[in-house]
Amino acid sequence: MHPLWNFLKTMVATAVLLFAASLISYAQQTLTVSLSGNSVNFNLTAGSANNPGNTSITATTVCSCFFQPVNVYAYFNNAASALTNAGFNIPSSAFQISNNGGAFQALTNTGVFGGAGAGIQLSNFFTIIGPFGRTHNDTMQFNINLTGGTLPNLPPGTYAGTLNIQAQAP
Amino acid sequence: MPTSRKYRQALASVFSVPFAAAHVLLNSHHPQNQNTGMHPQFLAASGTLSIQAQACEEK
Repeated sequence: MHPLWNFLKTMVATAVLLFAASLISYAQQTLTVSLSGNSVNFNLTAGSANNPGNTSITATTVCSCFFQPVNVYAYFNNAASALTNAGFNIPSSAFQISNNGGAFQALTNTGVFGGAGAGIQLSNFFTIIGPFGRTHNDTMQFNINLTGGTLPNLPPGTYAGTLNIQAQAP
Repeated sequence: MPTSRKYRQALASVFSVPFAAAHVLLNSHHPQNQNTGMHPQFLAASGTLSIQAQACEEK
């Protein structure tokens, strides 16, 4: 038998196996994000740059997917009114996250999720083989900086908002 | 065509099939593709965090 024929048979068999593996992996693909807590509280001091959150939160992202990059984002839906209280707002630019011990970053970027200028990308990682999953942790610490603009004159009250953590395999 | 070139072409065509097919499947048919209207994406998941900040009157 011609050696090229044997070579082609081997290649076709390999292709079939790879295709089957990719289909199986595709069928089982999942991406989940779970948070270690669901609330963070702050005691604000007027005009202070350091108003830390009372707890850190770990976002655990698990991707059971096949040759996929995964991006993890944190964002508010509106940059100007990330936290609100009776018509007064704390913008996302005053809200800061330190991820996995890194420097604090204000949520001022426009990403694929959330409001314009209201988020940051926390991290990205790559998953090669899906069925075993790939777990990635982002441990976030929080701070609110009340030094900019009119923020030092923020009236007393309770400012509330929702921060979204979202993962995407683009 | 030289034999070595034939081998290379055969190898390239065989290996391009599964990955291309998988990519098409992911992009067009995954049920979670539809979760954001303006940005067609797949495999997105999310969690929310309630933020509450208490500002007190200065004494």
